[in-house]
Amino acid sequence: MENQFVGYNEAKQLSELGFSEQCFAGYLKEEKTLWIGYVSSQGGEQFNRDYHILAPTFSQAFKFFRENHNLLGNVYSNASGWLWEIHDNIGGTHRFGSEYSGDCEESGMFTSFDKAEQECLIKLIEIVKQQK
Amino acid sequence: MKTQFVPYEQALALKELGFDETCIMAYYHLLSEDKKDKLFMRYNDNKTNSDNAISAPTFAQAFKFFREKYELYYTIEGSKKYGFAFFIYYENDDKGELKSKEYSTYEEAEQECLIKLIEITKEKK
Repeated sequence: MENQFVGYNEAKQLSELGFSEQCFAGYLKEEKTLWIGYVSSQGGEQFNRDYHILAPTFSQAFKFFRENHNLLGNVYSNASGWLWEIHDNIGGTHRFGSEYSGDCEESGMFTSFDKAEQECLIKLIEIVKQQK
Repeated sequence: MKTQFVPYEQALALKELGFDETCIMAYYHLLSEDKKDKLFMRYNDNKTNSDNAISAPTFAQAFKFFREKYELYYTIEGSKKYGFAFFIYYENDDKGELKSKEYSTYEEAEQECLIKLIEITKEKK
């Protein structure tokens, strides 16, 4: 279940970029360890934001970029492996693609969906940081 | 937050298809004949499916389940301007790919994609 949440470095950068939605998990600031809780029916998080960095799920992170930065990150596969691409969410214009940056030396693709998704998220963060 | 979790009907179908992973939330029902109307989501104490709880996977978990167990892959493409469509790819299957109609939101396409994946998998069984 832990792999549904973005890593500590990405969580920290997302926070710096303005991500502040309710989350099920957070990283303890000092120890960088993931704490998975839940959101109560009243909407309250079961961790303290003063001591934790919000840990969004990958879905939340990608939605953040779609809705706040007009960037749609997408992971897909071909016969050789997994790739990612980034489009404008509104107009659909293609912006970036993984090309041959994957971890498979032979094909240049990614060997798993999760690895492609992770790299796509890193690229989304990089794009928005550069825009700021 | 709740939009991250698949609706009850799909959660139930996923359970029937063999989904049994740890989930953050679950649909519980009260012990009555009219169970469906008394569902509510809460923290999943047991972490897995049980007689009175249906694990509520996130959409990401559900799609991962289809990738890993049934070799069914999907992608959602499009834009707000032109609409979002889902594509389903059949690994090791000569059917190729399936393209949906356009939906007005990404989330709607995602939801319909999951329904279609469940339908395809049920048909194969």
